[in-house]
Amino acid sequence: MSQSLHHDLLSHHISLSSSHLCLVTSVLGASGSWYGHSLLAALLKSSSTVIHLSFLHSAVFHSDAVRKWGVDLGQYGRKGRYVFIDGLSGLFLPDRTKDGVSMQAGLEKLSQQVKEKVKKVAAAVGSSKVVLVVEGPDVLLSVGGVSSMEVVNELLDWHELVSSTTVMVNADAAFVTRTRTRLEMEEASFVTTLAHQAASVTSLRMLDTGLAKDVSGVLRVTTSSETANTDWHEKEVLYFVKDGSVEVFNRGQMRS
Amino acid sequence: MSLDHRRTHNLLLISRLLSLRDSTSPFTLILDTLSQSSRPLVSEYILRATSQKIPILFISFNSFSPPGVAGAGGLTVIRAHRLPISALQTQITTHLSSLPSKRCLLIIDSLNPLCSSSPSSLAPFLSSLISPTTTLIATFSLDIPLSMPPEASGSAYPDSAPSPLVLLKYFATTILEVRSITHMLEGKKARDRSLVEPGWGLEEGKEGAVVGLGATPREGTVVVMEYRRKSGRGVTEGFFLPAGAGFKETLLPGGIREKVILLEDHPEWRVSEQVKERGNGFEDEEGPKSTFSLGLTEEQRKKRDEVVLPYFDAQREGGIGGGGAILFTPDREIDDFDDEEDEI
Repeated sequence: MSQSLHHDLLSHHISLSSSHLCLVTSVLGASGSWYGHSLLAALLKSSSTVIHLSFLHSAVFHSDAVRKWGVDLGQYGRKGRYVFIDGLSGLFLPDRTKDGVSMQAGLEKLSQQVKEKVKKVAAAVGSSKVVLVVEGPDVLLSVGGVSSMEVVNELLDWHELVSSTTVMVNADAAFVTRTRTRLEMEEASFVTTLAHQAASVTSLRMLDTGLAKDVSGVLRVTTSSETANTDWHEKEVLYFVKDGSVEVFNRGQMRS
Repeated sequence: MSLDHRRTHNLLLISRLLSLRDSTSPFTLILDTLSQSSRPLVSEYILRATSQKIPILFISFNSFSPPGVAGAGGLTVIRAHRLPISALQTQITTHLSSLPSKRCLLIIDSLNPLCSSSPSSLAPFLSSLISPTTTLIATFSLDIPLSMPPEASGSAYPDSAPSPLVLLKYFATTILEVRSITHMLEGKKARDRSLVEPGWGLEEGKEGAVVGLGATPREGTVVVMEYRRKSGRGVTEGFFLPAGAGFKETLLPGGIREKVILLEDHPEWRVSEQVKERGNGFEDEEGPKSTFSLGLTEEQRKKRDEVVLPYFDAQREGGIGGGGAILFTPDREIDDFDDEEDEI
């Protein structure tokens, strides 16, 4: 099953040759965690080195979840193929943890810390093999009071050091369609700017018709026309997250 | 203007625009949305400039994958996202003066960061880039909300001043708005049936959908052009820029081959304009449905044809009354008939 998921819905993350950005959006009712974890697993199974910067979860959460996809993050970590940067635990503390980053001294300091870690990895394996996965950078907008442009600029700086970047953000209606207050505007501007620049946008959302017992949500992938290496241009499928696996199927398809 | 004349005229115009001939438009503004990215159009510009060996300067504000990685010869990329405007201006001028040829194509990947961070320096910056030998092409994304600098900050932009987009539209000598052909066809289909046009992406009404299906299709791009002549009169036209081969090139005066076509010449755009072919063995399904027999039998039809309609004679040339005489037969009981009334 994970094989077909990889082939259909993750191939565009892996097979792109030139430098590019992939955007993954999710909503409260359709969490993107499972997609992120299957992506991590797929990237590690291919020959990429992954730098994983998460502002949402700690290392333990991720290694538990990715184990279900048959990948031991600890093992890859020891080989230097997986580097976790903890953006959550010490975000507002003076920099104490070894693998964490802190925003105590501002966004620039945080970015500097990330860049140092990325450079170290890129120097070891060559930047063309490094994939950066950033989870939940939109949290910086709301808690850090920085503008969307500043965060996009930091992402651009990090992106220049690696071969490709995947950014996972929230796209709930409250984040992307309201522009009354400054925070709403920054959130909307952040997501739409990234969506404009992304070579592919993967959106997870809830089923349009409501909750169902055997469907968790809808997954839509749109790729820009330059990334012509996939045989499809866009795709919309349903998925069902079970304990330890995910089933992906088309609308109206017979399932066992 | 006849269609043929307009076709030749406007295709020649877009061909001159895309091929940067005779400095047709010093500043072209491209408006795009998540439904249709401007990248296919910008790539077309780059392709045509490269084939003419015109040097290209690509100013990247937030491109994650700027062109040139693909390897176009005369293409230089300036990473502008960290540069203050004055430094960027100096870099551009230095680069331009170092070029052997006078002509140059300047491309700005996105004006949105500039409009957000320093809207007040937008006008001076752009006008400094425009010269008779350079062509400036800049993209503005309509669906990215602009978060202008806060009131109290140094670079604050007065509320009363026009929004950056209005300024840009005012500056531009040509505005090219790109649209998705898939979405336009769907919208047209809905309009033809007097239905509400569907929304796409963020306007789809589905929480969590960011980019609509059918966005930036591979087959090509719709370009809606507004070209301002020196006299100020505008020319507007819709075009279709096909991505690959498959569409016939038009031979224009001067031996120019152009692959861009008018939008109305797009086969799928035209299909709803044509009256659908009927009578190929199928019943017309669109006909009214009723339990009554609304048709006529052969006998009924014959009888109906024999009926002489009243005043049929009057329709002949110089009919009964002749000229414009009014035929009126007063009814003795109802009409008030008075001979003497006319005599005054």
